[in-house]
Amino acid sequence: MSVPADNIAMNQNQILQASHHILTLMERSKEQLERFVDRLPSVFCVSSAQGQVVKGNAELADRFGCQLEGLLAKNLSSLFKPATWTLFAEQMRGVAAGDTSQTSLELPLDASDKDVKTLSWTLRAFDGNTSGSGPLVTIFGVDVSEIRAYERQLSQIFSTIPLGILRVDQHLKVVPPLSAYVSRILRDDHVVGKNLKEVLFAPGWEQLSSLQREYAGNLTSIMGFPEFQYEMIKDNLPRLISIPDPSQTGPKALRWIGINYDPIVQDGVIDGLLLILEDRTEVERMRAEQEARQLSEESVIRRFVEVRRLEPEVRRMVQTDIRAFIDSIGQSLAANDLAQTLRTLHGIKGVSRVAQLTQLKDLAHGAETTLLGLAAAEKASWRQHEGLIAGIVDEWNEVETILAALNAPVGTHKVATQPAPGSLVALAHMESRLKLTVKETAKAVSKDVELSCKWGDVHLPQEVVGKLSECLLHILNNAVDHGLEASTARVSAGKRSAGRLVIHAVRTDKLIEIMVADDGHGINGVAVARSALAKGVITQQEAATLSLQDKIELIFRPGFSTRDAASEISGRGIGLDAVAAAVKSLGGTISLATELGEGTTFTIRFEHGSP
Amino acid sequence: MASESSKFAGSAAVMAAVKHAAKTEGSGQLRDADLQLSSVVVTPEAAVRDHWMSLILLAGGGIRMTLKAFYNTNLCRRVLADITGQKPEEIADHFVSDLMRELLNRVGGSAKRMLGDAGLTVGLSLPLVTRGFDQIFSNSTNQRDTDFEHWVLKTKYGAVAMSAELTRAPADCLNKFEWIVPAPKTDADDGELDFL
Repeated sequence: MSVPADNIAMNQNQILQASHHILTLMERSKEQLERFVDRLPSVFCVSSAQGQVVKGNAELADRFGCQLEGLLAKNLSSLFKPATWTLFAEQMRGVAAGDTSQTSLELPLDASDKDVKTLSWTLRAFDGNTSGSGPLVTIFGVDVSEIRAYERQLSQIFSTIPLGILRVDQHLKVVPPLSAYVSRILRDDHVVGKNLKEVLFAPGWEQLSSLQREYAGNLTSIMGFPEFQYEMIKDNLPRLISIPDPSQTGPKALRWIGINYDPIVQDGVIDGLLLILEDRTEVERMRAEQEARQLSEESVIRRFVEVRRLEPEVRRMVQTDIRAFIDSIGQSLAANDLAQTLRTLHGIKGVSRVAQLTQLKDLAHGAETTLLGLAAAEKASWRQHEGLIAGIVDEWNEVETILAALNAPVGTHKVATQPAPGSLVALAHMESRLKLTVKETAKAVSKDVELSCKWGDVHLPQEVVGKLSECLLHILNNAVDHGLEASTARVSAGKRSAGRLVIHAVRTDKLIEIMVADDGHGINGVAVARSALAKGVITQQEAATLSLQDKIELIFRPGFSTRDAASEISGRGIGLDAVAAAVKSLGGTISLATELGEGTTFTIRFEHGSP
Repeated sequence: MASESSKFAGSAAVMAAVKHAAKTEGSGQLRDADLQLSSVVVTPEAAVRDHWMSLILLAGGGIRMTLKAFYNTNLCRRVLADITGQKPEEIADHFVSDLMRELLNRVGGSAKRMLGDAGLTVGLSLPLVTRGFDQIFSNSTNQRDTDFEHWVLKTKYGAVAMSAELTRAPADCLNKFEWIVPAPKTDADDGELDFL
């Protein structure tokens, strides 16, 4: 069967129309794609391995300063500085030669009439079926110059901000980036990779509280846990640490660093920490100065109030006794006599405590503590602490000025006349002061104590009474602190609840006797000897030869104390040996009698005319 | 009788017919177009001769020939501006591509007619416009039985590059084919622009 010729022609025409339609569609869709590439906001280009442009978009044409249709005549080399082009061309050749299928690099474009822009370039081998042509390279260039400029600004801020900003990872290792100030504040140029504990906490580790040490030392334990784990520990982390600064001395020898913590949370769990360190040294120094100023103002007021409220009798005692001690301490210093200095300090402390001159008492106590705390090797150079004693003298001068002003009759500034040296003073003068002391001491150790005095109209020279009152104070303090039992113990031992102290002075033909008695638990000679042995006051052989009375009298030996911790009241081990020395210096003797459970009596004896 | 110099045989005959068509139709379509044989050695990247490319296919009697014209819109706009009296920038994009489609259609149609008169019957495709870059995909054909010709049509506004790629299958299909350049017409009025 044959087909008519015009039928064939019609068929061919239909085929032609159909394929025309498809071609039109393809052509349109391809043109859309081409326009899409043309308008890409980044540089797009296909070039030969030598940089000859075979295709480019509007952004590239813009770089060349030409029209889109003018790109074919261009070579990429004209967009770069020669040195930059060398680098770029090398990468292009590598990609064209198939060394790598893709490579990325950041290089600046140097279009002559524009600002230099840094582009992030991606070079890829052109993967069309182009076996007939030479190798081609597809090039994308994204302008990152604004990002880089912004990064530079950020990093400038980051490097000049006076805060140490750093991050640590799960293992507390410092990870980059960190602010430049970190190395300044930590005095370490190589912080990255080191452990936080090593770079931050270790130098001031000793200054941290035990709780802070525990939490700072176990920071890794919160890693990998939800954020609330941090909330639980954050209050115990060190927020302000002090680090010794070896380049400085005095109050500047500590650097203070404020620390802020922030957990870095990733996927709901703590992945690290962000720390912001702040140099707080100046702030802390100023705060300390401010505090010192305030303290000094307060101390002026307190001193005045304390001096002002002294009873006239006590005021007189303070004026005579401390004056004497201050004079004495000057001599002790000059004579380089540590033991005498300590005794005098103890005296100053005692009197000022009785008079409730807290500052003087604190200074004397502080000086005493320092000097007693000296190791054997340091004792030779004890005078380097002379400043402490100077402080006491200064404080005394302040007190004395106030006293003088208070003593002066209204309208005059004359210092009240003191009793002439050598004039006799009744021992009864001491009573109020001793009672005050006993009352204070008893209160301090929470005991109930009564002191009764019989002075027997005994008179002694002014300066003797001064020293004697110190001795009696020591003995009374010791009795209250050590000798008398607490009320409950007394009651259960069948005694009155209030402990009793009696001072009894008598004058006989030959002697003046002053007895100080308590009805406490007495002194256990065996325990005294054991303690003395333990403290190295006596040797084993010595202990074996001592009688019970000898053992009891060991309490007069230097360095003896039956209390381990020094208190302000007694128990430093210088109290009773100081008493013994003072009595001896007055030409008297001291002895003691004691009975377990019944009490102790100290007796001071002077011969007539001997002091 | 045609002279020896206007008589061609084999592939050269087909190429000569196409170039003859390009010269005559080009002068009409592009105004004052002058055909010049290109002396340019066409390297792969230089094969992309311009931003745009229009192409048409002739096939039949064992041959397949792709005719291409590479152009830029600036040149075309100015040619069209001369024809229409508009300013170049006022010419719409589709007039430009229509101009070049029509050029290839005319050259292809003219060549088809001349080859048919000489005994070689070929079919003609529709003309297509695409980017000049797409030329790089054409260079992959087996070149053993393929001949290339490059030339340019010179206008007063610049050149339009053209190429012809002729493939023979079987290789000896043109062995007996001859073509003689026709005598020039005395009254050339087929330059009328009637497609608009």
